[in-house]
Amino acid sequence: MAMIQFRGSVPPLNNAKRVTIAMPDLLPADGRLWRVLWLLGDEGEMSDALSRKLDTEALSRRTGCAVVMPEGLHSDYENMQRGLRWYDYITGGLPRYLRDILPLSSAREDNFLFGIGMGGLGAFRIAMRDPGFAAAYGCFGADFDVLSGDEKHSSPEYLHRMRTIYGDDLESEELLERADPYRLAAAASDIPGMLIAGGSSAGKIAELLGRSGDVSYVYSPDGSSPVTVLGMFEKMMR
Amino acid sequence: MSFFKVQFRSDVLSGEGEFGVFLPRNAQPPYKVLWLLHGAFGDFTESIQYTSVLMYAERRGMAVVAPSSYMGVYTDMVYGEKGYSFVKEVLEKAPKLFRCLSEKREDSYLMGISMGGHGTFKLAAEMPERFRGACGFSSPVDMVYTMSILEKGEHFGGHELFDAFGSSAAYSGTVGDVISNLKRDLREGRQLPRLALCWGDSDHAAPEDERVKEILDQLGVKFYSRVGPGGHEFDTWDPMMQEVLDYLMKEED
Repeated sequence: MAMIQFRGSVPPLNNAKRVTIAMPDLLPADGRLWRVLWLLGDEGEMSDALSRKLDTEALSRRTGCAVVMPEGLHSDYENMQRGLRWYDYITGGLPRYLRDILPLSSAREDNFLFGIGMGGLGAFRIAMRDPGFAAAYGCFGADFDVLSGDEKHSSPEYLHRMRTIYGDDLESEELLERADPYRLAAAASDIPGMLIAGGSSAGKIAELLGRSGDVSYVYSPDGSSPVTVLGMFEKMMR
Repeated sequence: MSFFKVQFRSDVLSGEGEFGVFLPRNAQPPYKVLWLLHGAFGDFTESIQYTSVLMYAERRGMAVVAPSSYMGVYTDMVYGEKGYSFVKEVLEKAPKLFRCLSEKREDSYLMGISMGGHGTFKLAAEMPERFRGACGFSSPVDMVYTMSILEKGEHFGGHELFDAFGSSAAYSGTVGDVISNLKRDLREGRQLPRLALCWGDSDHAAPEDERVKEILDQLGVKFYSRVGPGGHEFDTWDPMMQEVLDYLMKEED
């Protein structure tokens, strides 16, 4: 077993952030590279939150995957209109940096992306926009109504949060095309594996994915608890 | 610098071990590496917290790898953990985990603080082909001698050193008998790393380090030494670090 706590500034964030990595062992056998589960946490969580709540070391050992847990703070894992470029960091800068220095595979078939809560939404958008990032995705407890529901007007504080991430015009066609989960789902393609569990309107998202010919998905109305997430990942890896 | 704290199941400890890795932001890999050994009873954060060694290393494009040696005495203890084997385990595995770390001799340097200097010279004498330079600060380089004065009651150390090293007789002739091993290296024509030893003018380690300097001078070993103002403390060592690093890294003359 090995557990790594990383603190550093990686492009394009260029801002000190944390990443927690659980590995089955310090080194893979025979000079091979680890398969990787990228695990995105919920809003406001630091990188070690999931490793405190869950036995990610055991998960790593049982699945033979390095479990990489970056933090996304309050970003929705998006390139923020008023903030940092989290989407580019998660999909580009961070994987590039870590693969350069640690024995982590970059092959699509060796990479998996799961997320919980805000991380579920982040994983979903990455699957839709950049399906080549991973072989399978898991979206747990995501708020798929983030841009289409009335929630954004639920309080001045929440509206402020939304404008910080997405800009002032939350109804703009450009934004909805780029970030609304329903529109993204309607255009989904080339996703070999997708787990959708829990979250608002997840059934509707699953229905949209079902209309695509080349998206293989599993839908469960329940399962947004972190424990369930890991159980489903283990089941998938078996 | 980018910082990684690594905790892992160690083969030699039959338990968990840890080390820190600090990568420079201003250089391209493969990075030169400063292997940094902390003092007795500390851990890898000690020298990082109390000196500017990370800044000095980064200015020179070096990564820093700092293992936490058990009890920090850099020996496979008579009663205790295998502290020296653990450091060697990190030495072997860290560059395989962090592929950006150079393992070449010309890129590899050792620095030890206090007891870490014993570990530094021990590694330098055991594997001179692995390191280009090695420096200790206020260090009991010749632990066989240190144990002998401890046995006479003329050293401040306590029972924990007996637990670790046994006795001067028991430690003599082992991999930790640094002076004997340096003599052996010279006899065998092995190229020693560039060596340096610094201490404070009111340092309790000063007599031991002056003695080591005399021995190395007699052996004809090219050697850098400096005595700074102060005692056995980080305030004494930090101002000497950059000069020592520059000495260790300078081109052959």
